Parts: sequence; C-alpha cells; structure tokens
Amino acid sequence: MNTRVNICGVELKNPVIAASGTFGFGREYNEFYDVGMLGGISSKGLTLLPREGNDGVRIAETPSGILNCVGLQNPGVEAFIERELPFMRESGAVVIANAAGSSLQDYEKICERLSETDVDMIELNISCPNVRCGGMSFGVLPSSVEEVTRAARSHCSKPLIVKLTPNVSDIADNARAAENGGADAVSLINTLTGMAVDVYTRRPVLGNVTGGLSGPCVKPVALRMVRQVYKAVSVPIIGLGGITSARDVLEFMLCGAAAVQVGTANLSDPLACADIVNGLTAEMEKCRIDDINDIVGKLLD
Amino acid sequence: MNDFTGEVIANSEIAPGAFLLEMSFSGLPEMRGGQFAMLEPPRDDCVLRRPLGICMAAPDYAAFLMQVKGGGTEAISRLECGDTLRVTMPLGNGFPVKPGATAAIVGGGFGIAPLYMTAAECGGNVRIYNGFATAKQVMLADRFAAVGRLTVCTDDGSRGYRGYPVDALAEDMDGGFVPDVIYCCGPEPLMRAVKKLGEERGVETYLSLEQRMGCGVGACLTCTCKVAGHNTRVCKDGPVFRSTEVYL
Repeated sequence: MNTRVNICGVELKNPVIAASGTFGFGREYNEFYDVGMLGGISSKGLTLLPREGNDGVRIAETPSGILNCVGLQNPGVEAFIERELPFMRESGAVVIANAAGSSLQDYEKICERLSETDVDMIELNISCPNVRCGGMSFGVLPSSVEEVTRAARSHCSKPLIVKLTPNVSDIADNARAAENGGADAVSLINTLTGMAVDVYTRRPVLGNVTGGLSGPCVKPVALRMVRQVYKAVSVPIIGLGGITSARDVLEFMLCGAAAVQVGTANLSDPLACADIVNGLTAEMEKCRIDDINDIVGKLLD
Repeated sequence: MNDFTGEVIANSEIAPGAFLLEMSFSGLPEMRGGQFAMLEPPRDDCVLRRPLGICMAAPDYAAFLMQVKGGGTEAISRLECGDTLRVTMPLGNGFPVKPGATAAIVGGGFGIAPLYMTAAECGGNVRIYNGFATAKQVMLADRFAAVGRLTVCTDDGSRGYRGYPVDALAEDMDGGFVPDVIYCCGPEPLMRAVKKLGEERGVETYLSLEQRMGCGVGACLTCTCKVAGHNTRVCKDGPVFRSTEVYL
C-alpha cells in the first residue's frame, strides 16, 4: 500500500501536513509523539520582524468549531531560521515555511531569505483574516493575488504554495490568479471570518471583534471549494478545513487534494495528526485503495 | 506522553454549580499544585478540551474542581461513576514551592482548586485565605483546614471573615504575620489586589493566571498574557507567574 505523495517534486511520506498556526514549529507535539511521522509541518506564519499578535481574548468555541484572532504572533523569520528551523529539519517531516507579509516588499524579502535556507517549500500566507495590514487583503481580489504571487515567485527558489482565503466571491478565480502568478501549488481553505457575541456584556467575545472560523463546521465548505479549484487549475492542491480523521483525508483527496493539512484537530487532541496518519492505511483498505494517489480528484460527480 | 484515559469514581455537586470530579487512573506521573489538565468533554460538538486545575493527585488518582459554565462543562458534570474520560496532564509549570518557608495562600472561588496541593507541598507553616461570595459557595473547607491554618472569607459575611481574602491576609500581616511567599489564584480583581499587597510589603508573590485556552500544550498561542511586556503563553510558560512579571 502506498501513502507517499509528491507535491511539486517534494516527496512526503504521507499526505498529512500539520497546518500553519496550530502546530507551532512542532516542538510541543513532539512531546506527545515523533512528529517525523507526519508528511510535513507548515510553520507558524512568519513575518519579517517579530510580531506580538493581538491583545485580548484570542479564541472562542463555536458549535463544532473555533474562532481565533491570534494575529500572527511569531518570532520573525531570522529567529525562525536560527532557533526553530534546525529542529524542524531534524524531525524528518517535510518543512514548509509559512510566510506572511504586510507589503509586497515584505513577501519578497521573506521569500528571498527563506530561499537561502534548507526549508523544503514556502507557503505564502495571503489569507490571514486577523491582521490589519496585509494578510487577507492581498488574497481577496484575483488581481492582487496574482501580483503578490508574482512578486514572491521572482524572489523564491523553493516550490511556492499560495494559501487561499475562502472569504471571496469565487475562489476558483483566485486559484487561477495564483497559478498565473507562478504558484507551484495552492492550499485551501484558510479560516472563514466570523464573530462571537456575549449577550450578557453586549460585547464581542474576541479582542479583535472578528476572528477566523475553523474546525469540523467548515469542512463542507472546504470540500466544495477544493472541488471547484480542482476543476479550475492544474497545479496540485493541498486541502484543509476541519479534517479530524483518516476518512476526512480521503474525502479531500477524492475532491482533488494531492495532500492535506490538519489544523484545529491538533487543538482538540494533541494526538490528532498521529492518529490520522496511523489510521490511514486501514481506511484505505476499507475503501480498496492501494495507492493513495489513485483517488486524487476521482470524485464521481 | 501525558495522555490518559481515566474512570470516574465520584462526581458530586459540592456547592451550587460546582462539581468535584474524582477519577482513577493508572501510572500518573508526579503532579504539582498549580499544574492543570485538559479534559475532553463527552460531546461531539465541543471542539476544545476544558482546562481545569489539578486539585488533588496520587499515582492512581486525580480530582478536579469544576464550575459549570457552558455545554462542555455541563456534559462533564453529568458523568457518572464508571464513565471514562480522556485527560491530558500534568500541563504547565505549577507553583514553585519553598519547603519550610512560611507561606500565605490566597484563593478566590474556583481559584482555590490548584492551591490545595500547593498548601500540602509547603508543609507546616501555611496560612490559607479562601474567599467565596456567600456561605453557600464555600468549598473544600475541611480539606484545606487539614493542610494549613484556614480562614474562610465570604463577601457578605455569612461565614467566617467578612470581606475579601486579601484583606484578611493584610490584617494578619498588620498583626505580625510575616510570610516568605504568597501564592494566589482567583478572579482578576483579587489577583490584582494580592499582587499589590505582596509587592508593597516586599513579599515574593506568585499568581496563577487564567485565560481562554486552545491546545493547552503551547502551540496555538491563543491563551497569552503580557509578561515583561511580551505576549507569553499561559498554558506552557505559566500558568504561574511571579507577580512582578505580569500586568493585570
């Protein structure tokens, strides 16, 4: 049985990647299991300079989901390279550096700097809903998606994944724009913007007022969007949004994902990714799948 | 790997909306006062685990004091003897106990939970000030009385000292009680007052902070507080901080 997948020339031992922002740089979960068993790890979103993130309440639970507004708290790209990358590299999982900028120049500089290191791939975060400058504002209009992708591409010698926001009128247009701008792959979906309200205080629960919705409640939206994008572009798709089980992985792959990311499930259960990887072959057997690559996009719709 | 499945051996409402959940486990590591656990609510629509201070512990036993706040804690409160639950623990740093030191322990409401083991770890010379709204809300007084000199405080004076526990401690200090260290957990206004008292009187003070939590293991950065001006993880770098480091 084969679970190996190849994304833009990078081989992953299985299609399960820990999603950016839910896994730190892997150290905390490595206390629970060997994170080298994962196909890959996408780092916390990295900015050029260290970032404190948002003040106030940063998380709220919703039915079958969570809202967060962390706001890209991270040590900055230089501290990542010095202090975190060696651990990630050593782990044995494919290393994806998630790059977040506030301007085109930021994206260019981060990509340039990361290209000098031994990260395997760069994931362009143009879809964070929780920061004022940059983030999602680059990811909404197709023209701007193409522009920022092109700018990053010209300063990037690694395979470039563009992470798309679902908070747009037609995500297929944005995926095409990323492809036209030179993306080697796209990942989707980032979180859906949402709110939680405290009726007693009459205030928003989150310090940032709005946050990003994730978890099992967004999975149907994510599956639909992966399918739409699969029909619109020819670059590989990394699917994410509410995956909690090996069966969910196969659902995303049927819709067209060549690999997947697991995010919120890590917050629900520190062993989530390990359990998904360990359950993959049994689930493949049940579905009579010999090579996991055989089912990519093969939804009968 | 600190992931355990335990069996409920008792789950009783010891005050209105307050449950003492007692569970049996096998092979628990050593756990300290101030450390906490993440409990998985028995409800599919609850995505997050619930962080609870570890109130009592032994190699085969742990007890948690829980306030029913929403659907998840409500579901946990309905667990019966024999039911099983996944628990990740111990998490966080815990209170730095100084054996032999004279300690003052200040707890407010459900904040008393992590202080029981801390009082027990301190050994003899411990004074405990636990505050509640009214006599009805008083919890675990017998237990605490066994591990230190306990002053029960109520806001309305319906039991014990009338007023906040920080005021009871301040009065004792005015009367000559000189603690080497203060340990506190409770609502933010109480911790703010204890921080002020400890710092004004030059007593080393430790606070256990509370924040809405995601993963509980240090990865998601949702439960941060300001420590020395920087957003710091309550779950992994805390929950206990030196009072002089935190802004409240």
